Amino acid sequence: MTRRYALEDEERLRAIANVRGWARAGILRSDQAERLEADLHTGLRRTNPFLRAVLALFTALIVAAAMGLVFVWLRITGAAPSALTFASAAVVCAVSAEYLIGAFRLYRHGIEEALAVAAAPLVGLSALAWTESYGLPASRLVPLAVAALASVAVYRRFGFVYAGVAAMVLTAMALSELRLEETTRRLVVALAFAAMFAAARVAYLRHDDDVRAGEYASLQAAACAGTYLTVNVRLFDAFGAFAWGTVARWFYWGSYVAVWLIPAAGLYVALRDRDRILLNVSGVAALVTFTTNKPYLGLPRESWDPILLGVLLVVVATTVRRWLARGPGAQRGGFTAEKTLERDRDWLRTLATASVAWPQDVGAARPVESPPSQFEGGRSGGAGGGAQY
Amino acid sequence: MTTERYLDEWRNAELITAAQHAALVALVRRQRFSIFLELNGLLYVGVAAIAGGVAWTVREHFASLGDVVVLASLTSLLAACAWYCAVHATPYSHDRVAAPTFSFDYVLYLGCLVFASELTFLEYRFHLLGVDWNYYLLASAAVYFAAAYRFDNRFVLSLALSTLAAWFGVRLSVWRLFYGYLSELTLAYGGAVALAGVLLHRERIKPHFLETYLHVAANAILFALASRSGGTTSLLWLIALLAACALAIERGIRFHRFAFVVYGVLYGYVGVTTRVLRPVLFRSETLVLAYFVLSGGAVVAALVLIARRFGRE
Repeated sequence: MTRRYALEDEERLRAIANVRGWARAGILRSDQAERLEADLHTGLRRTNPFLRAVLALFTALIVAAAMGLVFVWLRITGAAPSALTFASAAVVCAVSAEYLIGAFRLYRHGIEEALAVAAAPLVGLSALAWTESYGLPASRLVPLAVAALASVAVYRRFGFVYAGVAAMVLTAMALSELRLEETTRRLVVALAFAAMFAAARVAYLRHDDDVRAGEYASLQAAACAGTYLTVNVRLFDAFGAFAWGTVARWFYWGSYVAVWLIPAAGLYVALRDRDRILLNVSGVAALVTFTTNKPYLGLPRESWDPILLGVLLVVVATTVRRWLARGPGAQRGGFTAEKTLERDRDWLRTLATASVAWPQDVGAARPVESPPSQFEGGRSGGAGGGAQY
Repeated sequence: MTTERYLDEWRNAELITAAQHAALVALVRRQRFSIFLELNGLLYVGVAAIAGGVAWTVREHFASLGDVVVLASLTSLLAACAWYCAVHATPYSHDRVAAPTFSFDYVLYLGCLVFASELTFLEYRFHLLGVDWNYYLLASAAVYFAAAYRFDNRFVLSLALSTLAAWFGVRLSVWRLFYGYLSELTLAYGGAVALAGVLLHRERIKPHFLETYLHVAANAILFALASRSGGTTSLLWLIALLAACALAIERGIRFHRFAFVVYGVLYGYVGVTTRVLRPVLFRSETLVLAYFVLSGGAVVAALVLIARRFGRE
């Protein structure tokens, strides 16, 4: 499927983002950055990420409400008319997205994204109505598969990586609808994710342009995460609603090995390729493996487990940092613990500010064996400020 | 064309120097690959895990460990953190100060979290302040603010702001003046935070902290106003919400801080929608759906105008 945007335009936009980052890091002077940006001008209209997100949100709201309005006004009730309405709406959304891009040269502007993406679930809903009308068995399998295909089409046409990730998730959900025994089901879904990882990796290695390679890097990281999440049997123990059934003994212990191997392999490949997104996904997977190790082995959790994990993380971070800093030019093998772009500091600032929203549960230090305190009754969270203070 | 080829072109056209070209090619080819953010992430998660584990251990095992062991352990950890910070600290400055060591910010943060755990334990076991226990929160917030400003630490500043929020909730409820009025408490808190942030910024004391104050204050104030705007109470709440949203949007546009534009739009929309839809909800689904289509369209149109005039990338 032909891409809606020219590769050169996307490369220019990526180069503009790089130029801005380099100027903020002080590698380029501001007058140089302005000149380079002017040379890279594409004519595509973009907007600020915050406005993009809100525009997408409200466009999605309009699409959902308009669909409801059509059903109410026209009193559409039957399966076939519903299927036709959803399919028509999907076409309208896709055509509208195409029109907005063609007429106004919108690029990652929120509106055209929401319209294009909305087409995928609408096609899925249309398929759901059709299968229901015919009373087909495993009726959710077909709609999910159709929605997955539509998401692939959206990704291929517009290059929205999140549509590609949605296609992966929908594929996994569709496969989960197959009437299979629990072990086989997990195996099938994990193999599907592994196949998607392989496909994304082949594409990643084949493309030498930064734009496409960047997209496939994200997709392979998402597939890696999907494989890990499917294989880790003890992951959703805490969330009963998401817990799958029991699995065969051989799969259980095989998965125990896999949850150690997947992050290790991911970290190895990510460090070798200097692939940041795979590095982060594999790092998080490794953390999850540590936290699910005891449940896997049937050992009771102890209150000092988080302390041991925390100490391990702190030791690893400080050791790696010192080791890199002692290398020539404060780097080893091209890796450095120094900040190279201001973007890293922006992320830390955002994390620090956002940490207001997740109050530290230090009130948990309240001993549980003691009689209820007469001082309970705090209203809000904060550092020890909850009702449990 | 890859970014690397652009760099070659720019160098040939003498738009960038050879030294700049070399530095940028190293970045683009990932010959110099920074894991600064990843290592910081590991430290943050590590410190949070340690603090959580300490709190959990105290809660579960204080009876078997005994008060002395618990207090000695917590005090030792706190003293170790304080010693580290005292030894490595750089002189105070009103301006931004870089952390003296890689792990400095996180050691300070851990110290503050352990301090909170120790205070919690002390009060629960010995009831030193009795009914006035909420002063622990105020004192903790004061300590965190002092540490955040002394050592230029945003994580501790956030901790101070959330602890202050807790004190507002408890103290003003104790006065009964605002008992049961969460919106008023949140509004008072947001106003106090905004005022403090602006005054400190005006005095040029750590002016780079202002944005943190304003994010917290904007969310607190707009949440408080939006939560009261939908009721059957006075129209003044809605008017106040719209005024606050307009201010957030105007300031956000003026200073190119579009997160505040988002706050203004979202909270404003929620407040107006709950007010408008309350009479017709569950009576006419056509009206409700039509409202969302029309109001959503209006918001999109307004945002497109803002995006075209002020928010272009």
